[in-house]
Amino acid sequence: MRRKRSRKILKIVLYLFIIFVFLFPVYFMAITGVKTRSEIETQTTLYPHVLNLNNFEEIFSGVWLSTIINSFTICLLSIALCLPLSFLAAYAFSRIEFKGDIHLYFWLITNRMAPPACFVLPFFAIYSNLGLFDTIWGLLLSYTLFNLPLSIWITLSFMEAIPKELDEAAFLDGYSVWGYFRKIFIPVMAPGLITVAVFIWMFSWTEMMFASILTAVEAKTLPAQLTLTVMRLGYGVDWGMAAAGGTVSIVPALILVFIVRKYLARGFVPLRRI
Amino acid sequence: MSDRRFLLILPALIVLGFNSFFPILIVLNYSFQKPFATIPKFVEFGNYIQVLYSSAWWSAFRRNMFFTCAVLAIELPLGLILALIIRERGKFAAFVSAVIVLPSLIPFVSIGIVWRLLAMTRGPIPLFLKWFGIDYSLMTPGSAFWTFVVMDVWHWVSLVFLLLSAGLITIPDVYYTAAKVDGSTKWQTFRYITLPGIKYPLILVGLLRIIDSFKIYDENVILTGGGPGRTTEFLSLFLVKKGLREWAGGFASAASLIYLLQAIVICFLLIMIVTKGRGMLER
Repeated sequence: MRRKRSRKILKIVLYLFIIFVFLFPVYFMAITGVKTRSEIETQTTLYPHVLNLNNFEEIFSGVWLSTIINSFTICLLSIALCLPLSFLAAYAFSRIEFKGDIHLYFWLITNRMAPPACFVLPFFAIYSNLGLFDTIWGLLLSYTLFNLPLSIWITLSFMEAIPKELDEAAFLDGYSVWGYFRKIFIPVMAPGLITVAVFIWMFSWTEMMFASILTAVEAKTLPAQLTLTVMRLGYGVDWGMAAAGGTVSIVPALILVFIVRKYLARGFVPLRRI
Repeated sequence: MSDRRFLLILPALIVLGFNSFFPILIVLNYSFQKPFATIPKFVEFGNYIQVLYSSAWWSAFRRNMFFTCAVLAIELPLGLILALIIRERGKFAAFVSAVIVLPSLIPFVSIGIVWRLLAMTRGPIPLFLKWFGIDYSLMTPGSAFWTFVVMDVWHWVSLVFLLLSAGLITIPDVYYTAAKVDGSTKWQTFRYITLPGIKYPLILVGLLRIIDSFKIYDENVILTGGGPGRTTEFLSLFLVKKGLREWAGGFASAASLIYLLQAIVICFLLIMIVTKGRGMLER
């Protein structure tokens, strides 16, 4: 009895320690967002001695607000673009055998593995020449490099879980292709599609490399703006601003994941099939 | 059903062809020239030789390799331990799990900001370490490197934890009961039941981490921007700086291709080993 008790206490202590380790850094960034500039630069405090809401006020106005809106727009547009494309492509991979499909699939996967840094120079060259520099559309297009392979991959694994016999049975029963999709296939695929949408959203929201390189003023996204803030030499970096921006960047991700947490757990299982 | 349905793949293919295949062709093209010189000229393999002789390149490469190894060596066991400890179903355990997963939801840029705030001169970490008599500064190359490792572990142990937890759940309880009846020790149970049970998630997450840690960029920019001098410049940052800051197009392109090749070869090898040569698509 005594041993069980002390074990339980040990476990609780451990849990508290884990919670501290994982929450403290985020907490620290959040409070740095509301500290005054002098407090950040001259002391190390574990809570803001003087509350300063200027940073957050600035985030929700002017330049910062438009970057947040840009980020939002890019995420939604990415989902709107990649979801249908990947659905079609995954269906082709899954249900239809055609020449070179395995090789094509492998090439697709290598896109996921490729370091994006390899693409910055050609992207910069291509997009500048096409007049897509500093536009949402240019950025959107560049994101498909990563979004498409990933969404095809995930959609495919969800599709593989639906037996092909279901298709055949439905067609035998007289469903048209479109009717089959609408009434059976897509509803069954719904968790998969939601998972894909979440992944696309997460990537597009957090992407920084292309965002900072392919944009200047108009199409700046939140991560790019944050990077700019941090890199500002001259009269010192405004860490309060950066911290506030960082905190804001986390919030949508938290909300989104909280909403779809049930689907996310399922999302990882099909991924096990490599 | 007519076999023309494979055309369904065409839209995605066109987009990717433009975005992925075409740029690689451009990179290939550039890698054989000096494209931004006053008079662009062909140097054939000159760029590649330059890259392979460049000590900056090798430093960055070694750094990446060391980083990936260090990170994997810590993340995988740590994630496994966490998954093993937090196995019950209570509300508290669920909360702890959610907290552990939190870092993986944070944009990479913000991770960089979080750790920069913690590790900078006025941050909590130097202060904390000073109590133990350790002189820590983000400005020293050694400490900077290990800060990256700690940051990455903090960031991604959640992924390992998530996947391994899911894997642990799939091991039937019957196995454990049978093992207990047969009188197996804790270590034996672990080795012969738990480990094989999580083989696939473990390999998957190991693969993902190897691929992704090799590409580190965002945190690199924010945490040190290359570090004191160039001492924490990882490959991606090195490449971007060469290409878009110094406009050494040929060099950067050749380096890009080598980088790309490395990434693909590593992944290909690993996948082949893992699937015992069968490849990925189950046909």
